[in-house]
Amino acid sequence: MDKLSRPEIRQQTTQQMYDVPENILEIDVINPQTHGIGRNMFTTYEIVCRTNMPYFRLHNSSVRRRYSEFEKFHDMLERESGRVSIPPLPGKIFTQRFRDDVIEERRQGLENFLRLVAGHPLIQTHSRVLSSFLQSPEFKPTP
Amino acid sequence: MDYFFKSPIDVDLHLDNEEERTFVDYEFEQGRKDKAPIYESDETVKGTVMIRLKDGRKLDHDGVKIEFIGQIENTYDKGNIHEFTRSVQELASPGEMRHAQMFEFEFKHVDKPYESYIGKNVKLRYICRVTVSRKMKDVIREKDLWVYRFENEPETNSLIRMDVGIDECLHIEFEYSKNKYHLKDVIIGKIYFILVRIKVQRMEVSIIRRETIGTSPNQYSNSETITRFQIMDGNPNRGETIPLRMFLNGYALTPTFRDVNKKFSVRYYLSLILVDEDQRRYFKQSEITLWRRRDEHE
Repeated sequence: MDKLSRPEIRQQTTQQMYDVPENILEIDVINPQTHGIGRNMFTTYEIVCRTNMPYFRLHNSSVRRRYSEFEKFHDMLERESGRVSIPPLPGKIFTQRFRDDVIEERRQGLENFLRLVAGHPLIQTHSRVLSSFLQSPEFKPTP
Repeated sequence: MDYFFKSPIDVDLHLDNEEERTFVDYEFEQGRKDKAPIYESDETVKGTVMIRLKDGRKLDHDGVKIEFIGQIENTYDKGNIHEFTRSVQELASPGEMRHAQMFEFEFKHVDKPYESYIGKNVKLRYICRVTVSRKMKDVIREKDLWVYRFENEPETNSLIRMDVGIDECLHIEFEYSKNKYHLKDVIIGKIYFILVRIKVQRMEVSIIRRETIGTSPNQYSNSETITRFQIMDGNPNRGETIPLRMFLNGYALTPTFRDVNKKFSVRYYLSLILVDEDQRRYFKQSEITLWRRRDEHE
């Protein structure tokens, strides 16, 4: 018996060979915009998704979320997940929260957070909030 | 090996045919390397002991003996030494020595039931020990032997084939040609990707040694990665098969030891690891049995 020969290998179809992989997930947090006036001012961030993964309803989406919505989302994730440790959000800001560099730092933090969370296979397959937070026009968290 | 600062004698222990034997290099303790001649499990251990007197003084002694000892040392639990075999031969009865003397000894077909092993927390050694008993302090000289146990081709050797994954995310089927490999064997296998929804950066295979000491409830283990070997770079598609070919020759492996003298075990595992772009690791360990094959050329 030829002990060094390669084991039998299943033939891969051409379609399989050249197909787009099912792991495309691009998330960007962009375009911070400030709304409202005076004490009711707040900033929203645009979340843009491009994906072909079956966990998400839309292949392309763009929604706006504010920091407090990220916080609610973070809390829901923590309650949902048993084994996965959820990374922290960028912190609360007390002064100068409408200054450009402060907003930019928060934007980056939110983007990193989303990419880590959305890219986690267990969160992708088990979370009920991920898809709606990323793609629903309005985020309506159940208390 | 005790050397006393004012030992009145030189004791030299020499094993027969030492020069003709193959030697194994081993690291006894931190950095202390040595060589030991290799013996087989039923080979006779014989040699000579030469005792030389210094300064022309005579030596009063309470007997000279030589012992062949096989022992298991638990280095985790210092001082815990368990002898599993011991043979003694008396070389000289108590008396006086006025000039240098040579003694021959022979442990005929002495049984060495286990293979020598030096690990992280446990050692199995075979020692020849000469003891010259004296009122003040014994003079002891030791020499280590290394024992190899050879086995025949195992009767059954089935392949390892498993289907593993994370639901909806990743699904692979891997296969290794055998579950028992000799130390100079080659592991041939393949990994077939059924479903890939993670962003794979690379795939590796590593060999892990797990040393377990004691019996439950007082059992403790330590693991060591012997080697890590990358077999794929980049992201595979559905239906793709990645071959595996790993030569065991170059790695510091020992045969699998199961429950040696009910004291310790050394087992080996093949670990298949996938790493994604966020450095998350997905792995599956399978145990393999290693055995020592007699080389035709030795």
